[in-house]
Amino acid sequence: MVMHLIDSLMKGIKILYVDSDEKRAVDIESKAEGDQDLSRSLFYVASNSQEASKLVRQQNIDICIYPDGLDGHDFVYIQKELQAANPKIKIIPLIGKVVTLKQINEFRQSVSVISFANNDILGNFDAIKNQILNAVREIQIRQAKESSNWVDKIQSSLLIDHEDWRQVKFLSSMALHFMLPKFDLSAIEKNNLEIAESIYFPWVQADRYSTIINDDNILAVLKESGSWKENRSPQSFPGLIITLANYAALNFQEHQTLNQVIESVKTRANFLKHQSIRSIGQDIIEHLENAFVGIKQKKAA
Amino acid sequence: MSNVLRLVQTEDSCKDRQSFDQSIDACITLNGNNHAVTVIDTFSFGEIIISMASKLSFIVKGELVSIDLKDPVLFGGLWRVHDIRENDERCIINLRHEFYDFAIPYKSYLGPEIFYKENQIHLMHEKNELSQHITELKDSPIRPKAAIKDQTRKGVQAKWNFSNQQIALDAFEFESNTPEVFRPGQEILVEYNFLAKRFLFLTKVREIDSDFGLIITELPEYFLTINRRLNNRISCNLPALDSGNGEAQTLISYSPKALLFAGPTPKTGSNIIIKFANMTEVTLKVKITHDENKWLGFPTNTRENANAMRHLFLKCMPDDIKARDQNDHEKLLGLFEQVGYDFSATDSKWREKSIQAWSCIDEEIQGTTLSKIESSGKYIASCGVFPHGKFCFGPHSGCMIKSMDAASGFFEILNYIFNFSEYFEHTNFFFASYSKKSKMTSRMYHLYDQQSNPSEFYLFHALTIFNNSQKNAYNKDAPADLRIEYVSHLDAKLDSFHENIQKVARIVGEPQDYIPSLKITWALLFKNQEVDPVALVHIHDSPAYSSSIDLYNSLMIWVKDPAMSTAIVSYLLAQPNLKNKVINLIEGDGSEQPNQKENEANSDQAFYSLTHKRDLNILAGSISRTAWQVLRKYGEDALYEMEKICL
Repeated sequence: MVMHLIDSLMKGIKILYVDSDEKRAVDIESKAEGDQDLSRSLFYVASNSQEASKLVRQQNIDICIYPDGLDGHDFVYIQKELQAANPKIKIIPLIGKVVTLKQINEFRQSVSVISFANNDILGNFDAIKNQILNAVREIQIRQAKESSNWVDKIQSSLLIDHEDWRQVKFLSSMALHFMLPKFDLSAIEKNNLEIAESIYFPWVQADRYSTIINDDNILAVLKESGSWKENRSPQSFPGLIITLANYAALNFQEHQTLNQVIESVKTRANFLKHQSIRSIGQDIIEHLENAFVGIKQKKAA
Repeated sequence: MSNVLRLVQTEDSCKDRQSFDQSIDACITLNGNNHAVTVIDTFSFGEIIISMASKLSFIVKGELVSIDLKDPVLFGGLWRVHDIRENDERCIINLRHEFYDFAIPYKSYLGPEIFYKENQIHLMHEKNELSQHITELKDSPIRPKAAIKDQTRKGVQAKWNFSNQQIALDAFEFESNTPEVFRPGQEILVEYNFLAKRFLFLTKVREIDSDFGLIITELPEYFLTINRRLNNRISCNLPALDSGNGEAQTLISYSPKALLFAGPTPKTGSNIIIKFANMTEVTLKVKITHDENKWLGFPTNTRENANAMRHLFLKCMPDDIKARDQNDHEKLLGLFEQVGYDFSATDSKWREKSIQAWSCIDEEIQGTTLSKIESSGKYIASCGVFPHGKFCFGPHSGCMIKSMDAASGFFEILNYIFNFSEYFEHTNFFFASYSKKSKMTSRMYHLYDQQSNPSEFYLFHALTIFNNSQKNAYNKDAPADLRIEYVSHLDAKLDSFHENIQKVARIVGEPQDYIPSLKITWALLFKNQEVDPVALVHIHDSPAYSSSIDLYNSLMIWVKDPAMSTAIVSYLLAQPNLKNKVINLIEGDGSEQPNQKENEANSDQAFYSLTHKRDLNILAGSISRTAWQVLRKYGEDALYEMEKICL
């Protein structure tokens, strides 16, 4: 028998819905709390911009959906207020039919705006939910795109003197890609893991990552990683999984099999020693090996 | 209902079989027909034996019957006919609970009383429900502690562990300091509490991981869940005196159903009177001895005792929960002002009138309002409770400031409020009105509807109109074609109203005599000389501002035809004795929300609910879940508060 957890896409994501009609906001909040798709998120509501900014700041809101004209301000003004409260926030403004060119320009330049919709969806739970779900997928795509430039640069600089690792990193990112769907991670967590994996190298000391990047979430994953070079044990599931992806990639690169990885997982070598290692079975390792072989054959062809 | 019967509701009652010496009147329902029966044995696990005057040929083995005892707190639910035997004149039927087959493996871990209360036990076996529960446990910032027991009921404390991050779980993991006490293949029971429910499942140990201190179990096919007892015990330390023999006692824990004492145990079965310092005496029947130095007393069921128990309950409250008295009126008014229950703009005497009303009511009955106090002495949450009528009681004036401590305190008070059902003799329903603007109440009832199956529950939508505004849409000439008739009793004229309205009217309409200054009268409204009324009016009178929105100076108007609402409300407000009342307008059968008038400046959409006393534990569970949802949004700061509520 196997039991499946509820879909992980929205796990732990903090959403704020702002509506000056307090009753409507409460209604949307109670529907969101009872909705299967959103049940793993944390859904907050506010009825004015001041309350919204306070929540964004205190609770570190990920996504905010709010109407144009809130408290007499246009959506660009509120967007700035929310960004001031949390620079990483993604927003979905609900705009009216009349929008000025200046507003559109401001709007285009902002990295916070993830999508927008007509303000006639206010109070319509299904429409709001769709906006949120689409936004999360969009965040995932956009974050991957946005990060690729700077991540590549960091990776390249860390690969100086380690050219042999270029192919390993290709395989490790593939390994992570194959493993992620099996685990209970939200869209944002998956993104953070992928970025962290790109920058992970076993010879880098955990503390040194803070001199390389300044994103707290990605930094946390890297600092909690393990290392067979440093005999460092992972401190979290994300830390374990990026260590394992790299260790598996290196082993395959060197030996064309993952026997050593299976052995390390079974014996719980210190660099993989974390409770979550229990979730890595021989089946996952074999799955990875098959995938690596496939990639290699494809490349050869 | 005799006092002795209450024993079956206590934790250890099943040990005391001999005390169950009286038969219980009950009725079973089969194919919609009720049949009187006598319950003659309830102590077999998941079974009851009933006796009927004669065999009814239509009762056959395997059939599900609904059973209902006269005291609805005790029995209910569906039972399957297992065996039928006939004596000379009587027919003896052995019934088994609908979950008997699922519950029987748990016999050595559970007492038979879990089957008695309807909605007490629930079987969780559907895939969706199970995965939702496990996901919720995993996402909870508070990890429930589980007791893992072997067949001898010995075991260890362990904590749910979700470090295995797989989406597809094929085992459960528990963290323990001593996992080695179990061995692979061993049969175990896992038991834990979460959000006011007790969860149990039987399974096998798959593996012991000493390296990480883990007990890994097989997945069970189903979980049993049991709603928590409604009246949790409150720890206290109050001196008492056994007036029978003059020996000193100490009350160490309190619940409305049973008092636990430390002191010399009186003789089992004796009636004794305990005198508490500065308090009314409480008469108890001594029933169960726990050990040499502790004993349980069960309050006898008299009105005087109920009052004394209520006094005692207030004494046992935690230090930061306070019953309203003359010293805290100003602080309570301060809280009311802060949350928007401030009527000084429309009534300059609001504060004085409120204090007068509270003083009057507190003299008649103490402790009808509980407040949560911050360490600084500030009042941050409060809720009142009144017997609305003879058959129902309910909360009023619920409020809290917007803070984590206030939210936690408010939910704590709500749970204490439920205790009051024990102190009003005939109250069987919890009657509550809620503003639809209130986040907390909307959420609470949304969950209650979705996640439980209350046995008797009425919900109706209302429009509350505060008649203190000149802009009121109803302030115009009264229609001439209506006439009002005041009635002393609800009679057959109710027949023309919707069935649910009749039921609700009869539940909420019977006057109570616990608080003489709260009065209920009735009126019917007729059009011209027509015989059938067009509206039923429930008139509440009380000292002004006895509750926050003056709910007890209100009219509850049940209008048959929504098209007549405006005329009827206008007519009633033109009556000199009714013109200052708050109005609660309910249209038709109450299933639709009455429309707010466009120029109506001072009205509020609301809903009313009537929950049977036997379902209050479900409501309490819904409150816990609501509290959890509210508090978890405060993040890590709320962990301690959440732990108090969730586990």
